Amino acid sequence: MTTPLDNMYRDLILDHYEHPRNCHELKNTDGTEEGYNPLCGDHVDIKFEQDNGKITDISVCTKGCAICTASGSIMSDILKGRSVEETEKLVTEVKAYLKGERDVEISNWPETLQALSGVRKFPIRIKCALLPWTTAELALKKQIKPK
Amino acid sequence: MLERFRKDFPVLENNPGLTYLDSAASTQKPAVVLEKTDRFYRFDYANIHRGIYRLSERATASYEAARKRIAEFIGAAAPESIVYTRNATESLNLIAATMGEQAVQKGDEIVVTVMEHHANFVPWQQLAAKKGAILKVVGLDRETLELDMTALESAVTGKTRFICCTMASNVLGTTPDMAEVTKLAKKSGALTVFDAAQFVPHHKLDISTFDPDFLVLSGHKMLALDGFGILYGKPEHLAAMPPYMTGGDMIENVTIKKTTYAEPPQKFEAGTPFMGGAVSLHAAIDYLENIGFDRIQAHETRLAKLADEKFRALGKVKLYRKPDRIHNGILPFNVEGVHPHDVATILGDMDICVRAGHHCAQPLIRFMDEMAMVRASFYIYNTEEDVDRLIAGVKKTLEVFHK
Repeated sequence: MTTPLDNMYRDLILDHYEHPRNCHELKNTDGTEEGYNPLCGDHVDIKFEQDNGKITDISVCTKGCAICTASGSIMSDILKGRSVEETEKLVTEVKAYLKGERDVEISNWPETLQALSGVRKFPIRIKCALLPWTTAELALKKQIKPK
Repeated sequence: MLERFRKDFPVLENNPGLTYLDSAASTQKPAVVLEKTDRFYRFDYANIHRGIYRLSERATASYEAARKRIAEFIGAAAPESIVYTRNATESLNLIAATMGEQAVQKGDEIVVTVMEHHANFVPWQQLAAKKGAILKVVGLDRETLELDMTALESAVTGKTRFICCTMASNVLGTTPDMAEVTKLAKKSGALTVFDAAQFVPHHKLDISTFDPDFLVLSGHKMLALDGFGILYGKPEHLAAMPPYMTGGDMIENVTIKKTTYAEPPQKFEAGTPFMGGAVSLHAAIDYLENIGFDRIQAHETRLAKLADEKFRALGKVKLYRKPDRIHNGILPFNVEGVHPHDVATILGDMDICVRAGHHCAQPLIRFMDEMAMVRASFYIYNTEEDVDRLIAGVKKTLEVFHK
């Protein structure tokens, strides 16, 4: 039987925690944002490059727990190549889904993103999972202007 | 063996299978404390100091009896030197905003230690910033994790106005030599502020042995209700300090043009106070002294050392204290390769309550070169079974993370 704990700490999540993707230098940084979770000391550093409203490269560097690190790593894979508009819509959906605010259809989400669903059973950890997403949202809102 | 005292705690009785190892954050409440507080509200409650009737007299008597008991408990000569506050944090803010405001000028120095709880760090940091004063932070000996007394000695100068020091670190359990700290302060003319919140649940405190200027504590960390704390101040300081808040209960005479204030401690107790808090702390002190602090310390230290020993045998657990330096029931640790927050989630899922994070002591966590830590804190109601469950929880954590 899969327990809620196993469901949250599934292998895909642990893999992204042990080997976080896309923490790297960018050629031209168009925007940066840092996010903190004072509860557990999670820290996310996001940088991105954009071209005509499309994210061409993104770096997500996390110092934090498994959930926050994995979430940031998964997000970095997904956001690369997306338009700012698409990204903002997705962030809103991810927030609503993890917080359980309303029904969100997730069957069309990438499998990696669906893997975050285990967090929903641990209310106090939802913040950890959301930190990279809310930080990215802030970064886009504050800094992106279509060239 | 204190195991038999576990049944005195309704929360533990009402949550079978719960392993509560977060007493350094807040202790559970024994039935006798809850009952005495309940009794006060059922039989003796009215507003204090003003009702000219018997019920108010009884309420006032309970409220003031608690003050006398608390003064005795900490070794203060005068009950009037005990000011009621909401918690240690408020007590510290009160000192910084009154005595701190008066005593600290531009270019003066305030000395704190790196192991302070934010409550005894941020108010001084902010006061220093506001006044253009210098905040000096004294570190620990890296080997022993005890307060670096040589560094403290060289930090204290003729310009030092305050030395602010915890009596027991909430992360490491480290207990500095208070008499040495006060000796340094007296030599330089600095005032001492001791944070006893983490000390009083475990020790008989006798302030006459080290003569602090100020000392603070929180009731909820020593079996009393939450929302009630103490500020001890030397009578001459309390008399010289301006009030912190103004309003009812703290005045002597109010005219349209002018107000004169009541004598301490009433001067610092504006508004209707938390009477039940005072009654609960009185009951908690009776309960703790009845058990005896020697027994309390022996019990919690034995359990913390047992956990330490089992962690060492298990391996893959980073321990910060040497076994002979484990004090105040506090055992900080980390599990290799697993973030403390994940450790606490997995333990929490097994009903093992520990704290993980920066423990409101970020300067110390940085000093220790960590992002966060897990802390198990033991107290009178914990048992060997709790230790075993903690070890099992950490084993499970290693399993989940494939370590």
